[in-house]
Amino acid sequence: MMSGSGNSSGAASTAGADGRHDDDAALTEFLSSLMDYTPTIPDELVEHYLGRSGFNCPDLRLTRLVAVAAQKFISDIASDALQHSKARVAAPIKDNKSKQPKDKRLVLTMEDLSKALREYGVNLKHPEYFADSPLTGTDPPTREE
Amino acid sequence: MESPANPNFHGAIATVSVSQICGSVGYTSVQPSALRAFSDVAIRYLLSIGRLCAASAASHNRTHCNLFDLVLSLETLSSTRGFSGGSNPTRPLLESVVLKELMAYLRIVDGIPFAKLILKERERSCSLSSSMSFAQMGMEVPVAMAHVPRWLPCFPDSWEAQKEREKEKGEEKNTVAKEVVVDGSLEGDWMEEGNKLELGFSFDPGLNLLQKRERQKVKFRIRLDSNSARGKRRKNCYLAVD
Repeated sequence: MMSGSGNSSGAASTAGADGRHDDDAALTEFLSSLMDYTPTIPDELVEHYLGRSGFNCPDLRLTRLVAVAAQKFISDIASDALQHSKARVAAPIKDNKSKQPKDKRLVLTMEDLSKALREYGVNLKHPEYFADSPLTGTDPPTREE
Repeated sequence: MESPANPNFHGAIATVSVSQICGSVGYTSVQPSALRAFSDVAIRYLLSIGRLCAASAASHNRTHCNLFDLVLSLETLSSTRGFSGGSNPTRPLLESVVLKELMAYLRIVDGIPFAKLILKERERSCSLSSSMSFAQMGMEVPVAMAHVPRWLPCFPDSWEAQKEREKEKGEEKNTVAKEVVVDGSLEGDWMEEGNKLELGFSFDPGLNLLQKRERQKVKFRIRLDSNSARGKRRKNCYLAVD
C-alpha cells in the first residue's frame, strides 16, 4: 500500500513535473516567437512610454510583449465598438421602412467607443455641441428676458 | 507626420497605430475626435503597464522588471473585466489566463507592421554613457565625492563642459563668414545670379564647411548720385559693378 501510494505520488509528481516542463517549453517558445512577430505599435513608441513611467528592462522580448498586450487591448475595444455599431445599423428603421441604407461603411464614432470603453472601466463623455454663448439653445422668451 | 522634435510626435505615431488596428478589425473610417480619444486611451494603457511593472519590481527590491511583474500588471489592468483564476491568491503567474490569451492572440492574428517610417532624433553622444556606472565605465569617483559608491551612474557633464563643446562647434561655423567691408567697396567671393547672391562656399547637413568653390572675384562700389528726374534734387544710392 505504502509502496503503491508512494508509486502513485511519484507518478503524480512526475506527471506534474512533465506538465510544468511542457508549460515552460510553451512559454519559452512564445517568448522566442515574439521576436518574429511585428506588432502594429512600434517598439520605439512602447520603449518611450515605458521609459517615461519608470519601466526598466533590457530584454526586448518584454517590450514586444507589452506592445502585443496593448495591441490586443485596442483590438478588443475596437471589436466591441464594431459590435455596437453593427447592432445600431441592424436596428429596424421606424421612419421609412422602404429605404435601405445606401452607405454601409462602418465608422467608429464616439458613441460606440464610449459604450465599448465603459466595459473596461473608462468613462468617456463627449459634449454634443459647443455653444458660443450661455443663451444658445434656450427658448426665445428666455433670451429676451 | 510631425518631426521628432515636436512634442506631439509620439501622439501622432500612436494615432497611426490605432487607426491601423481599427482598420484591421473591420472599420473603414473613424471620426477624428474618436481617434484622438482612442489613441489617448492607448497611451494611458502603456503608461499604466509601465507604472505597475515598476512598482511591482520596486516592491520586491529590484530595479529591473521581469516577466512576473509584467504578468501581475496585466492581471491588475484586466481586473475590471475579471479573468479566470483571479480569486486564487496562490495562482502561478506563468500559467495566468491573461498570458495564455496573449499567446492565443499571437497565434491567430498576423503581424501588421507600422505604416510609416519613424524619424529618429539625432543620437546624443552621452545617451548611453550617462546610464553606465563608474565601475562599468572604468572611472574613479572624484575625490571630492568619495562618499558616492562606484555602482551608481556617472555624473553628467557639467554645463560648463557643454558650453565649451558648443563654443568649439560655433567657432567652426564662424570661420566660414568672411570680413568683406573695405574702403567703401565690397570685396568678396559673391556671384550674382539674377536677383540672388550665391555664396562661394557650402555646408553639409551637419553645418560643417565643405570645400570652398572657386568663383570669379567681383568688385563693386556704392556711390551717391544727386541728379534726379522732375528737377528735384534727391540723393540716390547706386550699387555699381565694375
